[in-house]
Amino acid sequence: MSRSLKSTITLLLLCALLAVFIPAYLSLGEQSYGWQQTWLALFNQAGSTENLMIHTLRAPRLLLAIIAGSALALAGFLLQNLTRVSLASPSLLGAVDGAAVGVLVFLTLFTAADNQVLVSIVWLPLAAFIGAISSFMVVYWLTLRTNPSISRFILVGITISGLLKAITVLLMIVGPIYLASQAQLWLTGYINQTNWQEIQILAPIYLLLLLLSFLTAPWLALNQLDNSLAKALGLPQFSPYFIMILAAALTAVAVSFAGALGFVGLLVPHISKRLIRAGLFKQMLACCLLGAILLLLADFIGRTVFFPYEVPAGVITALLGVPLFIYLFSTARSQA
Amino acid sequence: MSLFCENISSSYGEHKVLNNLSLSIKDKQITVLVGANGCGKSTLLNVLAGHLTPVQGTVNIQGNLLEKLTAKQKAKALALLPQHPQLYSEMTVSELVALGRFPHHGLIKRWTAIDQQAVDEALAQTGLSEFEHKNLASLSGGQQQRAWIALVLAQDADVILLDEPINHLDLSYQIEILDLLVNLKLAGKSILLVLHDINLASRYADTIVALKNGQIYQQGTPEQVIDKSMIKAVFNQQAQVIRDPLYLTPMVLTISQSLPIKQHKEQSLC
Repeated sequence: MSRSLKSTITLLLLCALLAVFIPAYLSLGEQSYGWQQTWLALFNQAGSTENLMIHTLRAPRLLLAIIAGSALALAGFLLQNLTRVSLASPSLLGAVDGAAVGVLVFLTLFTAADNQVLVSIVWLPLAAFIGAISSFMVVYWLTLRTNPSISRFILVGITISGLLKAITVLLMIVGPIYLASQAQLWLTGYINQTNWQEIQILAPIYLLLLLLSFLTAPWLALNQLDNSLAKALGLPQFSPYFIMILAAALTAVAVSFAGALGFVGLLVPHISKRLIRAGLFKQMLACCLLGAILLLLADFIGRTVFFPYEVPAGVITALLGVPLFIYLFSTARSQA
Repeated sequence: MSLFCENISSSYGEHKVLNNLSLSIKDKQITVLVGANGCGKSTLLNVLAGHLTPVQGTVNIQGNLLEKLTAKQKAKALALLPQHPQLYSEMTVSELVALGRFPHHGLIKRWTAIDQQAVDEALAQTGLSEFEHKNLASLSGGQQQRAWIALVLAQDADVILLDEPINHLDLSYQIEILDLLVNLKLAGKSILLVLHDINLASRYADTIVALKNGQIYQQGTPEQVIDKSMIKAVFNQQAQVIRDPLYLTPMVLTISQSLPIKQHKEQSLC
């Protein structure tokens, strides 16, 4: 069987897995419903309790998990291919912490004494984006202005992340108590408080970024060659900056309402490359599907296994992610 | 002439590498740049490819100023294979060669039959059709170098620049690659390459350009350029030049400072 056919079959299996997960996620949980009830409740056509559970609570949460999971995974994929560093991820390069600082600065500046946010939360993703892109730029600039190398890139990323984490803690301490508790939840990656308004803000931005990301697939493919050859083949000079801005924007979309989710941006691109051996376009598709599936699964486990408690999705992704990552590394070494 | 440059000067900081250099590359010929290390050969290739902006002077490709062309227009007109091409991920030979079609694609243009034909032809020309599904890393050094040349061929540019394409290859692979370049010339490509082996340059070049201190010391056919005074001036090396008994081109015999000459047959050309 050719690599291309194998990849197509794997993609179809991932689509099927997501297609199974979606109705299961909506109908199962602390309160479980039949398929028909779930379908009606999804369109607000069932009883008030079912409508509340499925249409108002679970459906936007499902969409946020899909958007955040796939956006973060795609951001990681873009960064790993842009920098050619397999450890690159939005977290490692400071984007998640940068977005956290952006969100906290936004909340600090625009929260009144009575804990009311003074401006529309429509602007929250923008604040996260500014934070994410600023930290990316600083890491990129500090790496490139001296002798650029993979180790320097990672070292600078970790250093800037450390600084941003300190700023985050500082903002939580000096900010109002409301802000500290909100920020603590946000930092663990908590998607249970979402609503349709947040989805309406995120969905169009996400779809646009998704489209732009897939259009950059040929650039990413050329980026697998050394700079001189890529340039000789016509790779536009602005392409690294464009890809970096896309990755920052995807990170901002993911974390602005879903919080600082760990490991998705690092782990999922690796798994997708393992599963799909042919073509960047298919790897990107797999990355989106896997990111969505992983976060859906993490959130589902978080709200069902530990019921009546809810464990943040970010905690579950880390719990699932660490052993999986160690497994990937150990098998990579044995294959080598 | 598809490619020429006029009054090019280029420098790295204070160090002047090219000094008011003008050069025309003849169409459908193999032109070989020779010269000592650091004389500006690679810099000249990079200036001609538009990767380095000269301090002064212009590069003209197919009647257009190079600096006025977009990245894709440059890539359609002129291909460059650097000295050590690198691939940072796992790819099959056909996937690698397919990257050569990038300049011919717009933002959303899909892969067409013309693209596939160009890739198939590039693989056939380089004798790699049977290896198209193999990973590049699994090929031998010579096959890998052919794959890189196939990538450049798929680009379908009329002018091809190659920076030391046979460096680090063993003898049979060197001949294999140079023979391939002869076939490309016969297929209508104009080729400019850097070679360190003066005798292979003599055999394969239609025109030799000898560089010294960022300027052209001499250019012409191998017979016009290669003699012991040029070798002494450009490479600071004592040599005898005889006629290659197989191809009748000039052949350089270098003279060692430490080994005594045991036999000296009077057949030197000059």
